[in-house]
Amino acid sequence: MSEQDLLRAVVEAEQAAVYGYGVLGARLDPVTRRLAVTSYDVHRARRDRIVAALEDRGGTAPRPLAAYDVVVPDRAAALALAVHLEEGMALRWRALVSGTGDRELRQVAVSALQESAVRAAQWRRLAKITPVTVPLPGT
Amino acid sequence: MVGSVPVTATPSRRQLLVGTALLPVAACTHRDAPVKVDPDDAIRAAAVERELSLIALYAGAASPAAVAVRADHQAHLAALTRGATASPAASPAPAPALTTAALVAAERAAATAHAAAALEASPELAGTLASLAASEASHPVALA
Repeated sequence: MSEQDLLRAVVEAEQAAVYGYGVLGARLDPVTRRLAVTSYDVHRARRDRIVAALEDRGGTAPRPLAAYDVVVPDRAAALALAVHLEEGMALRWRALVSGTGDRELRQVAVSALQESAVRAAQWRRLAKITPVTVPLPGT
Repeated sequence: MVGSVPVTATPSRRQLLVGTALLPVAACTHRDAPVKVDPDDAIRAAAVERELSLIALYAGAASPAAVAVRADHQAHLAALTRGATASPAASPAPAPALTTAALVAAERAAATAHAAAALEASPELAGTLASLAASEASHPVALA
């Protein structure tokens, strides 16, 4: 994949994450919802940054879908979706780490991969999924 | 198991460091051939050293969380040494038992070091190091 394709894949995943967190937060108690709100804000900021990086390289960002196929009937489903979103993000960030020759972009991708792994662990812990961590996030 | 002492498949520090260091030499045995040094070798060896140090910190791990984190580090070591010449043998010497705060500090230091190394490595090794950095960064969540 070209660097632009990798950036587009990150943007698409961030768009899905923003949508997903917007939906799942409604199924959480107020304390847990704060983590969802923080995650939502982080993903919006990451999306905007990568859209800018893509446009700087002459690329065009994909448009977000009008809706995504997510069903979140309860707290358990909300936590499972949060884990799923972060694991999906980790895949895209790791691919970008290996696929870019731009040092600054690689640094962004490494940091984002770390943050996704931390959030995934936090969500697994709340969902009482063990083990809480995985050895190779993004694979 | 031997008695009550678990036997792990963790290679010794010496075996791994010697194993990874010999890879470029073994590839260049012709008398007149220039010795090509792969910059990844030193980066990989330093990462192996970090993982061995972390595994030693968890040698006496008893809690399920600490045992799970130790398993992650053993998987990290396997990812780094895949294809190296070292053979599995003894575990590294155990370090004195540490507090959770000290383990968290060690994990964060390793996360920072792996992340920095990922910026210098080849694309393939960079991906591995980035995953290791992410895993170490998440360990404090498990240990809390």
